[in-house]
Amino acid sequence: MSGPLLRLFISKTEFHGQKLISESMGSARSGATSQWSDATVDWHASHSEVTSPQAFGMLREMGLPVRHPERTFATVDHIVPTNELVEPYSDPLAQAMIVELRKNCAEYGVTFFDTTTGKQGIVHIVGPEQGITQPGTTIACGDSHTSTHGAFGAIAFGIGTSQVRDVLATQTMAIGKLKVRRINVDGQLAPGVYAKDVILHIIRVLGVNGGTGFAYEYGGEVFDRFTMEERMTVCNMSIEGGARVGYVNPDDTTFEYLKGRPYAPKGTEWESAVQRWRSFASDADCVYDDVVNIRAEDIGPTVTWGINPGQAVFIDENIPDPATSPESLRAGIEEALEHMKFAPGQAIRGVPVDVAFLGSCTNGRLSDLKEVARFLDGRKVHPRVKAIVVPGSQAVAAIAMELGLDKIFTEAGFEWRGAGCSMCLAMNPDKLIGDQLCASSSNRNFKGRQGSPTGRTILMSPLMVAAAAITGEISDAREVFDILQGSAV
Amino acid sequence: MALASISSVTGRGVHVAGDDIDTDRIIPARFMKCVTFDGLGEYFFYDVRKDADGNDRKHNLNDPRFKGASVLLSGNNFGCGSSREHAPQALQKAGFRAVIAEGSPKSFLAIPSSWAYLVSRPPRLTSAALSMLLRQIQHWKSLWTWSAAKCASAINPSRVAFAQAHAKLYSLVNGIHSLNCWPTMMLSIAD
Repeated sequence: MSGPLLRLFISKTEFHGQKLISESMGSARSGATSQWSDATVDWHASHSEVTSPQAFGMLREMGLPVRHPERTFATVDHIVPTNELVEPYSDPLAQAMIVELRKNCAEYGVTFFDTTTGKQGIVHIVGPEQGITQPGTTIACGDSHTSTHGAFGAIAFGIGTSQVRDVLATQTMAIGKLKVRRINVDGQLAPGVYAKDVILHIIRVLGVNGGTGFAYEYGGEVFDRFTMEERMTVCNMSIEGGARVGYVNPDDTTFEYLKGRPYAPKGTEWESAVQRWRSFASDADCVYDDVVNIRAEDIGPTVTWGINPGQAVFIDENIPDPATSPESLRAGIEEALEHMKFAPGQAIRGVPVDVAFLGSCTNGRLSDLKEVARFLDGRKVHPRVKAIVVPGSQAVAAIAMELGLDKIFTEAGFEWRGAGCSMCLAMNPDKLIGDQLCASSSNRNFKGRQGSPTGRTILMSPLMVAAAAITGEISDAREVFDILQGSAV
Repeated sequence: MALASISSVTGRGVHVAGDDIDTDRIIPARFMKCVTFDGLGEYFFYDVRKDADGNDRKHNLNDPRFKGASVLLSGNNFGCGSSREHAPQALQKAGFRAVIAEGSPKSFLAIPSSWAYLVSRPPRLTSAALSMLLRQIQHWKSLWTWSAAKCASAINPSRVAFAQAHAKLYSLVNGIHSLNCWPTMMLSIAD
C-alpha cells in the first residue's frame, strides 16, 4: 500500500480502511477501533535533567526497571552553565539536577553523555552527530524540539514527563493518529536566505496552530538540495507551527551524513540498512491530507516582531498595524506590540539590539557557525551589544576550534562559550536583563522566554544575528556583508 | 501512586483571555529547575500575575472574586510551545482541575490527563456557547460543575472521531494513570 513515510509509524493498524503495515514496528500493537496506537519507541533521548527526574522518581515508586536501558541516551543541556565548566556549579539547583541525572543513569544502566565525555551537548544535536538518529525510527524525548530528528526520516515526538516514565518502563507510548501535510518548497533560495528563513516563513504562512493534528512532511527542490543540518533547522521548528512532528524523506544526503558515525551500522550491515532506509521514503503516488506549495523565490530574510514565532515579517517589511489588520488578529498584535515596545506599522529594520545570541538546537551546529565566521572577517561587534556564541555540542565546539572559528568570533568581539541550550530558554545563567532586546538564532520568542519577564526576543537566521551584533540594530545581513542579491554567494 | 478518580469538577471559573497562551507563560522556564513537581503551583502564570518587582498585576488571576478557581477558561491554541509537563503540573498544583479552551495543540493534549484535569476541546464549543461560558464566569457567582458525563455527551456523537477524548475521560473517571492501558480501555469504551 502506498503512503507517506508516516505509515511506518502505525503498524498493523486499520485506519480509514487502509492497511498500513510496517516491518520496522514489528512489536507495536493497537486497539482496532481506536485512533490510538501503542507505538514502539526505537530510542528515547533523555536530555533531561529537566524532564526526567520526576519520571525516574515515578519508576522508583512503582518498583519498575527501565525496560530497554540500551535504547535510552542521556545528556545535559538546559541547565549547564556555558561559562563555568567546573562543578559544583554556582547554582545549587543546577548542580542538584545534573547529579540527579548522573545518579539515575548509573542506577538504571542508561548511557550518559556527561560533560566529561566530549560528547555532551543539546540532545537534538548530539543524537544526530552520534549517528543514533536513523531513518524510520520512532524517537521520543521530553523536549518539544525532538521534531528535529525528523530531518532523517524519523518520527520524533516531544513528550511530557509521565510519557517519559511510560517510555522508560515499556519502550512504547500511546499516540494519536496524525494527518500528513506535504509542504513543497520549490525553486532556488536567494543568497542570504537560509533554512531558518524557510521555516519562519512556513510558520508565518500557515500559523502557529496551523499544524495542529498534522505531521509536516517537507520536500521539494529546496529540501532535496539542503544539507542535513539545514533540514534539522526546519524540522526543529515544526512544533512552533503546531505540528506534532516534521520530517524529510531519507535520501543519499541522509545516508552520506550517517556513514561512519559512532552508532551508525557498520560493514555489511551498512548496505542493507541503506537499502531498508531508502524504502521508507514516501511513495511517489501517495495521497496527502493536505499539500502546501511555496516558492523559494518568495522567501526573504525573515525576522519575528512579536511574541510567537508566527508573528514575523521580511527584513524590509514593516510591523503590522492593528488598525489595518483583520479583526481576529488585532488583540494578539496589540499585546505583542505592547510587550515588544514597538509602534504600529514601524519598520523592523533599525530597531536597536542589546544582545545577540548565536546557538540553540535550531542553529547551534557547525555549519551555522562556519557560515557566520566566513563573513565576520575584520568586522567588530557593536559596543552596545553583548554577543555570545554557544556551540550546540562539545563535538561542534571541538571541530569549530580546530578550524579556528573560536578565534574569528572572539576577535570580532563575541564571547565563545561551552555547549548547551543557554539563552534559548535561560535555565542557566545566560539571561536577558530587564527589557533587553535580543537578536536570537533560537526558536521561541514567547514573553519571558529568555529569562526576563520583560525581555524581548527577535528570531532570525544566524547570519542575521551576526549582522545585528555588528550594526547594533536589526539589519539586512545581505547589506551588512555585501551579499549581492540575485548572485551566487 | 494511584490517582484519585475524577468524574466531575465543581468550582469557580476564571478567564485567562487570549489565544496562543504558551507554556512559557503558564510556567516560565526559569522556575523549572527542580527534581520534583511539588513547588510549581507557586509559579503558575507567574509573569502574568506579577510585575517585574514581584507585585500583583491587575489580572483576573489576582482578582479575589476568582480566588480558589478550579476551572480555567482560555482561547485558542492554549498550551502551545513546549511539551513540558511542568505546565499542566503547575496548573494542577495551583488548584485547577479543568481547562476549557477553544483549542490546544497535540503536544499539550498528549500530556497524560492522569494529571487529573479535563481539557475540553472546542469543535464542540460553539462561539455562542463560549460567550455564554464567559458571561457566566464574569458574573463569578456561579459555581461550575463540569462532569465527565456531560463532557462526553458534549463531545459525542462520533465515537470514533472523538475516541481520544473518550479515552481521557475514561482514565479520569477510573483514576488510571498508565497510558499503556489505553488500548484496552478503548475496547471497553467501544462496547
